[in-house]
Amino acid sequence: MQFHTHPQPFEIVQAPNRLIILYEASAGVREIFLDGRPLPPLGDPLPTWYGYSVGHWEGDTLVVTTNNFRDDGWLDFNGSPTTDQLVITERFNRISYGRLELDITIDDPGAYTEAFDLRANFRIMPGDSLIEWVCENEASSQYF
Amino acid sequence: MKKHLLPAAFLSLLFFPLQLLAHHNWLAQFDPDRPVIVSGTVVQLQLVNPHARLFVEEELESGEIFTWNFELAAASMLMRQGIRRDTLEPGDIVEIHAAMARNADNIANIEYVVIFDEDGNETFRFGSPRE
Repeated sequence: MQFHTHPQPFEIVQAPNRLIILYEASAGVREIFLDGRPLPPLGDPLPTWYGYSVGHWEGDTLVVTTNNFRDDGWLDFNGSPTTDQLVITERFNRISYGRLELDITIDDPGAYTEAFDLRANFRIMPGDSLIEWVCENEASSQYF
Repeated sequence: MKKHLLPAAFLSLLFFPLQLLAHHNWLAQFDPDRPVIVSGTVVQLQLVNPHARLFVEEELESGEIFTWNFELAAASMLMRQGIRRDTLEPGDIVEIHAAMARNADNIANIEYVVIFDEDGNETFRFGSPRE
């Protein structure tokens, strides 16, 4: 789960019943289903790096829950571990035109004794667009 | 109840992290307690991801030429600062402020670059956010 730990920006594309986040870092794509479907059982579908995300609105807050992560992920670039029991809850709040506030709850009984919260803040980049970002230098890969 | 992060359906917006975040474990690779300042001439700028590279030749007191392999931020991040492939060209005179690598004596991570003209006047400088 390194959704929001990259220095590169991301783009939110909103469509009816789904939200798509395009991460510049590693050209990541994440789909969040807003059509009311439940989270799938663990292990089905096959666990992935970004997991399986569903969301719903609580007032002006978009609440996204994600499960079905791979068992060998990192929470951050310091290598804090995650397991396939990881469930992440994200609360997206657009607190002003230019600011997005994101409250994240990490719940992974396979790696941590209790759930914990953190907050990430973002600013808008008007007029900007994503730039292709592909890891093309193997010399750096040992530090990922 | 607005039920939209964005003004209308099918619109999209970009967001940028306000915290200084890391692309990889920077401290595992570089030592902030070993800063280095290098004056030299540019050999080549490679605008690549995940990190751009800048090769610089420094003339040592012995007269020997020492070639540095500097790491910069990602090409995309530098491009947003206006850096282009021709911003630095072979032969350009630069002063590099960087942090040494832990496992190599010719590799360092750039904090910022100062560019000079032939008369020694500063013409431009840019930073390289740590990733």
